Amino acid sequence: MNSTENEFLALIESNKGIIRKVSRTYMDTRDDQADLEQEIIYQLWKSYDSFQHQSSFSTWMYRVALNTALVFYKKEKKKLTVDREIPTDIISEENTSAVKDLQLSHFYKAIQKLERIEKALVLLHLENYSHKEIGENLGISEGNARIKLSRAKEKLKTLIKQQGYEF
Amino acid sequence: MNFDDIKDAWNNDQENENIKIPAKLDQLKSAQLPVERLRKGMKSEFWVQCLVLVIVGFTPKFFYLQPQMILPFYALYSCSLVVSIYYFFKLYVFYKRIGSLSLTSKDNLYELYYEARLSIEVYKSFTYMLVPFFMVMAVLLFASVKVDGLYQRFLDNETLMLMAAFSFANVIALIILMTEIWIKYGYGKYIKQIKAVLDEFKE
Repeated sequence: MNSTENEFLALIESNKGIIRKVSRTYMDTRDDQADLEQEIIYQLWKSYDSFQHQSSFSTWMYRVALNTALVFYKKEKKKLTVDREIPTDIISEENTSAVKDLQLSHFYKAIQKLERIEKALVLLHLENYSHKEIGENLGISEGNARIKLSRAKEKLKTLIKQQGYEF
Repeated sequence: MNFDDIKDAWNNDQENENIKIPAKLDQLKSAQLPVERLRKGMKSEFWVQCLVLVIVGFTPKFFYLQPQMILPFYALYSCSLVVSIYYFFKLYVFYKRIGSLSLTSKDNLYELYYEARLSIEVYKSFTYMLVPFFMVMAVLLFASVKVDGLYQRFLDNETLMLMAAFSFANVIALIILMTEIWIKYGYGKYIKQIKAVLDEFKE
């Protein structure tokens, strides 16, 4: 293994959470998420030469990962899709960790129903990107990013409420 | 719950670490991006077309060709080879160039979309460009058939000539139709997928 490969793998290892977040946002089953994760790593490695250190590695990584996810289509598998129920009976207000898990479960279930661009907007927003940065990443104006993000958040809010969770 | 809660849960989720990073990168393969599927299809077609060109080049070995027809046959064959090399080169450039994912999402999608469409137009014109060469080569082979007076009888019979012209037109129409169907089902769906995402950028 050469030094570039080692350097790349070390960077991926320290930023792997980005890949996982993108895969969970775009794919709903673990199998499809794993396929997307492999695809993202492959595309990152292929594009690694284009990383010019002008931005941070994580910013560049987000861009490539999102661009991959936007045009990634799951394998056509014959299988039953089960709409998983989110367990609520074991959760109490004191159990903060369980509450957070429940909130995330609702969030990930709802976000599957958004359009691909809307997912990217929400994802970058959750990563604390400003409207300007979101626009720069996606290639749209700051104003457009603001409007689209606001619509996506409204949509997400409605979807979570429809799942029976207070928002 | 509000978006701050989600943000908090999102950033502290242990599940984010649950990902397997491969130890070796050369084992990684891309399979599910439209552009990779286009590439894969183009690569397979390249080899099929090379095989067809080789077979056509050996046609005079399998079928009798009158000595005076050999030169025109190979002149046409050389032209079809030059055309093929030109188009193969064009498609190879596309094959190598597309897929830079470091651009902004919108630019990346536009580039993919227009490059893919352009390559398909190149592919179509390549296919249609070869048709007349192969048709004339077929005529040369037919004109060499060793049956006494067959060719002359054919030329003297207006009905047969009309039928031949009609058959030629049909073959051309069939080639065009098959190419369009092949492109639609082989490549069109991937372009549609890219276009669908691009449309989401619209106001």
